[in-house]
Amino acid sequence: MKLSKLTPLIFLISVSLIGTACNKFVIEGVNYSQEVESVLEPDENGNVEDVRHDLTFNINPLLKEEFGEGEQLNIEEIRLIRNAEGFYFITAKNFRHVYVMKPGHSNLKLENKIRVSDDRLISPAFNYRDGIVQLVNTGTNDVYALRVDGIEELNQEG
Amino acid sequence: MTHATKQLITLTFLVLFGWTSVHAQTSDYQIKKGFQATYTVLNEAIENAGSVSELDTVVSEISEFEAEFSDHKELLDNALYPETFESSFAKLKQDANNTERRLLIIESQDEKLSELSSELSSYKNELERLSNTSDSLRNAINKSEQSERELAALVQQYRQSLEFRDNAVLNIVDSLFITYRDLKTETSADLVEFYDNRKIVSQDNPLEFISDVVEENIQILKTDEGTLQTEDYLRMHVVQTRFSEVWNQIGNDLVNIYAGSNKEEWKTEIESKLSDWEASSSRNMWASIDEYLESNDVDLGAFDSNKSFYASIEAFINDATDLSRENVITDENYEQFQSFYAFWNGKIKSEWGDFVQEGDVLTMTQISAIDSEIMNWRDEAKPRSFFIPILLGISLLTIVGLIIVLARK
Repeated sequence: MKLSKLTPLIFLISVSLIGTACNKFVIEGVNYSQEVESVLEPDENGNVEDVRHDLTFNINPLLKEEFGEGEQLNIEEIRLIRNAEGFYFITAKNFRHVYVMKPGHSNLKLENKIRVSDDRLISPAFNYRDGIVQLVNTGTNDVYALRVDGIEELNQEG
Repeated sequence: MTHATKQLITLTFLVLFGWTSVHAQTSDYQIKKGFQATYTVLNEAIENAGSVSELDTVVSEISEFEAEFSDHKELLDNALYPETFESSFAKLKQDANNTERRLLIIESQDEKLSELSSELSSYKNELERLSNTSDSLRNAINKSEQSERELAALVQQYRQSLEFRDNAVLNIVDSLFITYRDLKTETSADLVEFYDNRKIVSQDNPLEFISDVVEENIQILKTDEGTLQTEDYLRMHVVQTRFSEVWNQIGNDLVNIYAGSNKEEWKTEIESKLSDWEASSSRNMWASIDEYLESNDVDLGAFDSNKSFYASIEAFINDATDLSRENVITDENYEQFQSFYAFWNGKIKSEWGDFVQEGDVLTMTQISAIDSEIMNWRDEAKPRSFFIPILLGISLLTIVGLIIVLARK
């Protein structure tokens, strides 16, 4: 069979493939934000479950990342909040960082690790104000505005 | 300090804590938790409120609570999903309204019960006085060495004092019934809960009173040594029947309200005493009727219930009617008829009439049936007059004799 005879066939296959690709439509402007943070207590295996938002994961990799292999502090609860883009911001008492995690196929992938304090956080909490995730250290009244790529602005109130 | 008061203090603390937190840097999550904690305390305070005034305090706390958190309405609408700030308060206020309605009913019924308690107290005194009179009269009769006439007067007084006592018991029973019938509404479950948490002083407890009255009546019947007459036993049986009827209607409610944690024990005790009383009063009454009939030469055979009494009367009348039919010449059956008729009309239908029907000795239908059979018996037992047939026979013989004499001539 000559190539010239195959040309219409190749053309038809190409058109149909392009058509199929065009049918994967996308909804833009989705707001994933969570207005109030979730405070989750891990079980003995380190699993946490956010019943309201239907989310389950294990915090042990997070603890390993925060404290390293040697030091293991007992974490009674972790706090997480989600911004409009869908990134999870996770921290806990005694952490120095806020972990920005991107949800994937059955995983949470580290997008950024924001160091918010040289000292361990005493009583951190997330708020969601005007589309921005805030980290409040209620013990010291420090407020940090957080974006995926880091601290946007550092306020010292009190 | 009551449980409710403690709760209110906790509540005030929580509201204050909430207020302080609002003015410092705090987390939305903390606001949500504070709201939920206060909400739970308020909810429990509504459930546990023991009076309308206590509930009024809780309601005013709810208003303060609502005002304190109204700045966070938007946040809470989100955090409380699927509830909202408004729906949460609507629910709380609705619960408070329901509890207030329930408490108002309970308080009004509690008032009625208090009235009854004071009534009960005066009845107890009256009954005690009458019982004392009866006791001293019975003692006087037992020890009496007086003349027959004086003794008869004492017995008469004793019987009269028992009659007064029985009337007092009937009045008490009616009073109890009217009061508790009014209480027997959909609120009785609330009352049970209310009274479970309230210590009832034994002197206010109608169950104690009922148990004592029943016990005294059993003792009167058991210790009687022939001083009472059939009429007295009939009256006592009526009192017992009425008492049991009322107990069957309101007994469960009384036990629920007043027996606290000993519901089964009280129920069993009173019902066992009532059963004992019923057996004694019934036995004495039937024995006394039988004795009365025997003393009037009417032998009905054995009977110890409405059914067997009716059957005995019916059999007695039928036999007597048959006998009368067979012996038309003698007037012996007619005398028996008259004796029974005097008992039937004079005692059963007149003197004892009210007790016979109220005490279910005989029903109206049974009395009517016996009336008709008695009329039948009377017709058969009435002695026939043979004067006219004999006169007619003599006249006929005379005429025949005259005709023969005239013919011979």
